[in-house]
Amino acid sequence: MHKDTTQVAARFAWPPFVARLLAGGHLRTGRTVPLPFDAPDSLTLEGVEAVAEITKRGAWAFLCRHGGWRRRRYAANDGRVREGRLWHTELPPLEFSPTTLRLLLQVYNEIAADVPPYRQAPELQHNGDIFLDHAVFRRLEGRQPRVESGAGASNPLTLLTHGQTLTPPENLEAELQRLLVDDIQPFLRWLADDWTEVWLALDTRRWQSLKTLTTSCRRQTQIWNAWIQVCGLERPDLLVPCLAFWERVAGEERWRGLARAAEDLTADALIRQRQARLEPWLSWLGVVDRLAEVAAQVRRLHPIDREGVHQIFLTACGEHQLDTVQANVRQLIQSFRPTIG
Amino acid sequence: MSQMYQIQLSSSVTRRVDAADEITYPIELTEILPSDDMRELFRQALEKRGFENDGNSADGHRLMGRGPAGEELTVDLNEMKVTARLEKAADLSTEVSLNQWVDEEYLDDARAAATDTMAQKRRVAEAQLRKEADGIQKDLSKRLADSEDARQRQLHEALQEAYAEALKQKAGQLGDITEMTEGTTADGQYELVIRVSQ
Repeated sequence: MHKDTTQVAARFAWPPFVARLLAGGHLRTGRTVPLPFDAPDSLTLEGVEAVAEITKRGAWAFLCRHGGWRRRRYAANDGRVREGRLWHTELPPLEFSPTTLRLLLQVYNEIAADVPPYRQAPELQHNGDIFLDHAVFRRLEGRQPRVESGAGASNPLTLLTHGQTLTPPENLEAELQRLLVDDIQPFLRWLADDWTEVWLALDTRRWQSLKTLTTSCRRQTQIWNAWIQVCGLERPDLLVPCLAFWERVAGEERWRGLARAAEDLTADALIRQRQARLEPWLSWLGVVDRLAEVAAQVRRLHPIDREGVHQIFLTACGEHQLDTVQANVRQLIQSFRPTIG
Repeated sequence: MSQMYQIQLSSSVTRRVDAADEITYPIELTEILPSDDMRELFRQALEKRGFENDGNSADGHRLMGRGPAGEELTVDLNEMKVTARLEKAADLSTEVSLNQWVDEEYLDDARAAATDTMAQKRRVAEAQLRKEADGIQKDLSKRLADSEDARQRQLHEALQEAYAEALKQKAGQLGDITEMTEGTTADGQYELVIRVSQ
């Protein structure tokens, strides 16, 4: 392809594409020319600068749209509980590495060539890379990959939200631990409500078939248990989205629907088959017990030693009826896997 | 005048049914005494109820007994689980036959038709036996499910005895037992009162 052609595309097609990718709108408009990866001189300085600026604004816009605008109680940096718009809190800057530019180039080429995504897991170095990669993953969520691609699996944030559709890495806890670094964790409370909504949306798809139920429950159990382990007593406030999720799934009256769904899915099975098939789901329900253990640990702290993150978590346990949810879930587990004891 | 021929065919269809179903329960023993002691007390309570060492475990921590529906109960105190298993084996069989008269003129065609008819009858009979086998399996699973409450009661009674014995031993460790009464409350709950002086 002629270098001039790619330079025109890099200058006039790529930046608007990135803007549409991050802000919404049709991704494919007219004829677009794929850009070469191995010839950086085909990209223009103006194009790269424009994309860098759009990227920065796009990442902020994503964070604001997905919860930054909300008025919430939060644990401030001084350890106290404050209330207000989350975007008014003191925040670190978003920084990006060349990985983000490569990602945006790759997505542009996929759309330009109209091929399904097949992305290698990128090395996300800075906080901006993680949020931007997550925003792109969310934007392209419906596009079916050619094969199970690495997209999302190297991003701890995407692992946490969409882990049930991804293959968790071996060093899962270490990956999730990355979210607790100083320049990322202040943004996590912005996304708390969004996580709950994403999990709820994925939860409805879980019941399509027994295979989907089994796989998604196994993966999500693994990820949530790791997340609970990572947050523990240090950041229990980051477990509030889990509490909100469980209240919506297994709160008053709702848990009976879960039992019916499980029965319907295994209606023709023998008792031993039903037990084996539902085991991943029952283990997934066991995550509630892990949350209750954290709550018990926090309650054991002397009130003087409790910081803002603990107060927020304990308040949320009450608001989201953790005790009721736990009792319901135990009843569910007992009905499918009775315990002698 | 043509000759009449009789075609007689018969065959038996058999099916072996090995129906089985099982349910597994995890055991969670409250540690009133150390874990090993609790297991031992539970083992003793089970043995009093007719459970026996299955002969495959050197430490005697695998016991077998019978449940209320005649199911085999295997209590594994190493893996802390109980498996209730119900089995039934049966040989189902049925006869299919065909008997018809045909004119000599049509004998060859009739033979071929009779073979096809027999094959069809065999398929119908096999489907019938399959249905019967499914029925046996379903009945078996239902028996296992219906006996759930009785089975749990049986196992919990053994567990209750183990807990009571553990409490007595624990009380003995705390001081001198001055009074001990066992009974049942008005609502049918087991009650154990132990008074200890220190």
